[in-house]
Amino acid sequence: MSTPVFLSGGVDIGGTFTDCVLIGQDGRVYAGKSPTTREDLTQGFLAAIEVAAAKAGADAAAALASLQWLAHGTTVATNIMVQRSGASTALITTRGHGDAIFLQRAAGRVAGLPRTELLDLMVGVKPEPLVPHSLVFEVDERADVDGKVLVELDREGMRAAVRAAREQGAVAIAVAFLWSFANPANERAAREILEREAEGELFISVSHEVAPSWGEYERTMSTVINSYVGPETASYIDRVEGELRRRGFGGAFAVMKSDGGVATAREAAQRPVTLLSSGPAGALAATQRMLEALGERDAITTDMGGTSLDIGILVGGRPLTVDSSVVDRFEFHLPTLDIVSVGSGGGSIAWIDELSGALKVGPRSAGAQPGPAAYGNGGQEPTVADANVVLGYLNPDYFLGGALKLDRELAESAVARLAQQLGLSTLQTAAGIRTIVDAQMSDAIRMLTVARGYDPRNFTLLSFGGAGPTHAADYARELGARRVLVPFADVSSLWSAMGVALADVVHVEEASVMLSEPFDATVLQAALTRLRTSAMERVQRERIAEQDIELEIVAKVKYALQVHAIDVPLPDAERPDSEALVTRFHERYAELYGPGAGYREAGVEIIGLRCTATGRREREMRLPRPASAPRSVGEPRSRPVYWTHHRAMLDTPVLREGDLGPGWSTAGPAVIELPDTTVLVPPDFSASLDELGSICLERVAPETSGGLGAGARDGLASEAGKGGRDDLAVEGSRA
Amino acid sequence: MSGGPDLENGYLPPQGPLRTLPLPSWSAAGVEPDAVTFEVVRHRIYGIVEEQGVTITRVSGSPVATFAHDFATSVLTAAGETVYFGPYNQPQVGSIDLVTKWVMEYRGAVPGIRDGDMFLCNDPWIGVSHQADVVIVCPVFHEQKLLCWVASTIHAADVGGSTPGGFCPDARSVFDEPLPTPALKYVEDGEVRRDLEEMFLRRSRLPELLQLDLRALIASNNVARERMLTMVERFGAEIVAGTMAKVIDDAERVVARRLAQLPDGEWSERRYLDIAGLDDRGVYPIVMHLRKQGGELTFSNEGTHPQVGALNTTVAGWRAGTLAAANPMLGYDLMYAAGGLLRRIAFESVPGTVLSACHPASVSNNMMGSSGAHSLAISCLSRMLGASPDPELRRRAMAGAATPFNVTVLSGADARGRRFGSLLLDPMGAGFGAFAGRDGQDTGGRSWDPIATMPNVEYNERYFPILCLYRREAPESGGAGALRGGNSGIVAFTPHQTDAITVDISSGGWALPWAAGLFGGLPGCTNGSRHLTGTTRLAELLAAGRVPQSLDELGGEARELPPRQRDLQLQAGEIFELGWSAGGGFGDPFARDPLAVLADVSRQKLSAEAARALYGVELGPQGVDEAATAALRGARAQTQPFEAIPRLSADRSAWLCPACDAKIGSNEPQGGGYLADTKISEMAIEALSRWNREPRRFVDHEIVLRVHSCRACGCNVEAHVVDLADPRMLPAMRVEPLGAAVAAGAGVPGAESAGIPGLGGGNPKQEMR
Repeated sequence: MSTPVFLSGGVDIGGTFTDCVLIGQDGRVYAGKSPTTREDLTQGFLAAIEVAAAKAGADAAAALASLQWLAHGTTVATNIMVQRSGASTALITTRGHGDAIFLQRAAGRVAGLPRTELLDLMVGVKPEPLVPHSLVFEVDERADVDGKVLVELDREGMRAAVRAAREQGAVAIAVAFLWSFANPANERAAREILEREAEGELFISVSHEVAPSWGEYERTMSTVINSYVGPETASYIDRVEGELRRRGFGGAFAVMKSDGGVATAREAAQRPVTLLSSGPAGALAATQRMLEALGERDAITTDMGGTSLDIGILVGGRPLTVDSSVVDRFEFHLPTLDIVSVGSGGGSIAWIDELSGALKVGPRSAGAQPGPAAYGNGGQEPTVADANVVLGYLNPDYFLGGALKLDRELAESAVARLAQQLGLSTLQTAAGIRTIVDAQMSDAIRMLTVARGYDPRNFTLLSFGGAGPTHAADYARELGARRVLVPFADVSSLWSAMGVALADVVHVEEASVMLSEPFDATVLQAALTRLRTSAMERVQRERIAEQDIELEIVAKVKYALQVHAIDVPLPDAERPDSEALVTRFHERYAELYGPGAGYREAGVEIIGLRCTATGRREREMRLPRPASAPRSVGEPRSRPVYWTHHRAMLDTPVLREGDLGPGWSTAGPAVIELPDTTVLVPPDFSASLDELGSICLERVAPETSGGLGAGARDGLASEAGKGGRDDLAVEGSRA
Repeated sequence: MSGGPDLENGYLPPQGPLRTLPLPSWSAAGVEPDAVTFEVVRHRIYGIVEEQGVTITRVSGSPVATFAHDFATSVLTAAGETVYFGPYNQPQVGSIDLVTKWVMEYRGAVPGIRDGDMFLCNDPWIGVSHQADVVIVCPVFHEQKLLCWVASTIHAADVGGSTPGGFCPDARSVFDEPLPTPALKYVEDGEVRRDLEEMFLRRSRLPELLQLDLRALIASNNVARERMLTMVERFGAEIVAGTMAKVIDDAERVVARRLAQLPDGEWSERRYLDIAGLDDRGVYPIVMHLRKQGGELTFSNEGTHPQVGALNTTVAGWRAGTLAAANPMLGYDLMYAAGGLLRRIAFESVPGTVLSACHPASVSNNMMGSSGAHSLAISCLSRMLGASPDPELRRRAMAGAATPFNVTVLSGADARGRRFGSLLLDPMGAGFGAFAGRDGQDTGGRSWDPIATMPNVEYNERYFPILCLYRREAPESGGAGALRGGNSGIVAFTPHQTDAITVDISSGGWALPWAAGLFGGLPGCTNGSRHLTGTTRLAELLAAGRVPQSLDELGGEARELPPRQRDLQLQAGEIFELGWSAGGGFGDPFARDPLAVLADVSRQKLSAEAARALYGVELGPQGVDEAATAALRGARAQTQPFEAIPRLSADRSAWLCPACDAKIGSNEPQGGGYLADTKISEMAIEALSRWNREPRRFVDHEIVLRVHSCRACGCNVEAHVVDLADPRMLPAMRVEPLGAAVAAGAGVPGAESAGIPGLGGGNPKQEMR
């Protein structure tokens, strides 16, 4: 066998596993998993490559030597924030406004708290500041709303601030001045002084470079966080890259960012804040590729793991983005993928609310330790995963492909304890747990989708993560979504690493232009030109050829007296047409917020421009697909599985990866056991393989529904009455 | 039926069933939702009130809706009981069930309540707190039977009246204010009544924006109705009705259980509201009595000053302010299921008072009365929680939150001719009162709106033609205490790119603080605004490269503005500085750990001078100067940390000092009150913090802080603001033995001495829910 050549690789380090996906020259995908090595993450990193390479018959050294591009998804920045182990950071800001990071716009008390805790005044406390009061320095300088400099930077004061900061032990500095995004002159002057004073020893972040956006608190926080996580993140990236180079890696090394793209290590190390919360971004990048290949445009991604469900939305083939995020109750500005996490997972604990007698699921989770009762690690409380074992959905002998033995009896007795309190059978209780967690997930997905102006019934659901495919059909039915796709085989649980390997180089450049209607064409034109040039330069630095760069420029536009800004594409950025822009804005606003929702009389204003430069790396990237024909022969498997609308355990066909091949399909009920997840095909669904090899679940029989609530009229929501009323399903078929 | 006397005195629903025509409605009808279905439906109903909020912000899109969340949403049962409300403006929630019940009582016959109808109301004598709040309630029918009500309310863009924005600082009566509108059938058979819409919009300076706000409410109700009916199709009307009933029953049970852990008793509080209109120099007592008997709470406002000037709220605003305190203090874990709590609360109101004004009093500044009620209720409820043997309830006792809002409206036109006019939202960043077990959150927001935020300076400079010189947390603005009150802020700005800005102020809490301390903690600071006029050095300083950081650097003449101000012209080159009230402290400040004081000073929460003056802590280069601190604290120094809540003696006849267990007062009905044996001293209001002013500057009353301390150890056990011309012994606490079935009657020490001028006693008490 000749040593294969790998075009691209992705390594994604999670809390438990380090995942690796290698893509061969022929487009084939080789995936590997290895335990995460917390002491020295590079060991697990290399081990995962080794496992993946072995599948192609190569060793790690050969793989690294041939690899042209290797991208890395890392939680290093996130961990620094969680552990508060960042650099001693000083903030230098406009005289009179040093308190902005302590005021936190009053939102820091509750930012990011779940709604159940909002009303409890005892719960909400602001986080410990990232910069202590003693390291906040105010200097004389000021620009106004138009970017006019009213007070030039006090250079002497700036120097004094830098020196004082260093004397007090600061190793990273953030500079954030009011209105610097409108005119960065004073911040540029500050940077010059800083660089001279720093003698190469300080990590420097300047707000108009990190987050040039309207709103000083969030911009300042981005800048502070960038400095706070900067030194350690940069040194980690250096360390990994150094290790790879030592082992013969000669390709490009890139890092996954929260905007859904990758950047080469050198670029990323300058803006480490972009690595924060980049964990779920890979999955959306992979989904984006998948939609392109399918010729589809709209999808909701649902990544259900042990503790949470991550929900992302792609519209028109692109993931939705948001302008700001929350970390540790700090809100900071940064264009990132709009991914929301809710606390429903396989480890969510079921309990009884003493007062109402209601069965509840979550938000507490058994996590990985002790994990569900069935893990046998001492977990006593029943979890969603335990319910799935009781109901026959999970095979105790083939969990994670058999890597983890589940104890069916422990699961049953945990659920039985709850059942006794409820006066229900163990089976009914397990079904109830599922019903509730599925309803929670569908409610959450629905709320997120409608809040963004979309109807979930028009979307394809993508399901991955260890627990997702076991629940996807049920929450899809609730939502009225007609189709669920589960990426094929072991790639389902490696979907993030897949995305890391496939992600394009992305650079998002922003310019906060403030223009009121009628827009000043000269100002707009000049800003657009600057933005384009700067975005192009950044992507070109990443070894991307000009013809592979796509620019998407949008204006953030709003009605003057209203607050919702929406992105209006500027396809003709060379010569922006103001009238067309305003017309498109009116149309788009009506689409998203309903006809007549805009207060036009107040006029229209542009509050910013954003240029997304995408460097396409490979245009022909094949997704993994099953081998040409089903491999397995022999006795068909089956086992008893509980189906809600039969209210009974039915003997149900059980399929494995090898049973599936091109053209395969089946009617429900069926259980498909993949190495890292289990796909349920309820009786009212069918399953097939699509052209890319993903498992496609489709609702076929709305009139004989199963699952949640179908039989609620005559008892347990989970106990389906035949012909039960299922209006969501009716809605679904109307859509 | 007409609105009857309710439209005179203000509506409170009857304690028994509503006086309605028979209206067929769905009930659980014996179908108890099972444990699983209940959870699924319950979760979904909560989702509906949130989806309503999403809809309102999307359609309205106005800054007040989005940043200040000045709106509310609810789902109510067919009987008008609140099931859930969204996490938005809590006082507005109190108006929704009132309007719903009033509609059921007075609109059932004519024009009738039918499928497809919605009723609009902004009448403070029916349910809203002030006219700017517009409620739209919508009955939801299924098969011709009423299933539930869904409702939304918003603080709407201008609804008319003599002042833009609707707070009229000098209104003589409601006839100078936005017109109140009793419930109208605004939507009939699914269609907005064009005639009524035009009638309503006609009053506004911004009719298009008002129309959007009204559309937002209707869209929100439509979403909720559709979602409720989808659930009915799915689960059946009985299950949905049964789930709603059970949510309320469960919440009621939690509240009842909580109340069972508390002794019966009676707690009373008194505050003074200052300044009832332009050029007024008065202070006006407001009073709250909280009586707990078994599983019932009764709030009364007896003893409150008669309605006066432009200071008043209707009974709806009093109830709303009270509920906004009771909800988070007693129902913090109930996911906003207010209906259950309400079953355990009765309101006794005396019509014709500042807190329950009769028509046609001015009520557009209801925020003063509602905030006062909120503040009173926090203190009364905290005293009650403090009497619990359960530490989990005791630790939730809290000092008063920052109040009232410094209501300052800027309007005018900028250099480009663009008009602006809006409330300054910086005071959203206010300090919380200290809890029994924790300092108050600095600049933490407003407890009556869990998610409201203050705008960025850059937002303000874009909405208004201003340049903000500084915006900071105000050190020691929070009341001193063993647990420190949360600090608030201060902001200063100058007109920028405009010749002048018009400033209107309609607030209070200027002469004296309203945010009370508790059990020896000191009150949070007062509101205040200063206008720097004349020739200032601003241009000169900026040109020299300096951004001034205090009015002192600027020359000119600094004028302390009163809390009621109309049409102030802020000229280019002049400065406006605004500070807002902060949270109260908990327990004697001298009992605060000197190391905590040191940390406060190093984090600029407190100046070294305030540490010395208020906390008796001397700091030196090495940290706490222990000798000097001991000398400053003297006999009041405490060696052991203690819970700063007075305890009852074993025979329950006496109140004991929390620090040394010496007697501080009596718990006997005629024993002279809970502070009878304390040593009384006085402290000047302006000595409380650098932000407070001499009361005489604004009012013609002798106002001081009266401090009660233990005669044995010197520990301060209570500190409250008094008008020396009105020296009543309040606050009061009297607690029955735990578990006593019946509490004693009306014997509130100090409160029974009638003789409140002008009350007349002619108005009967209303005793309703």
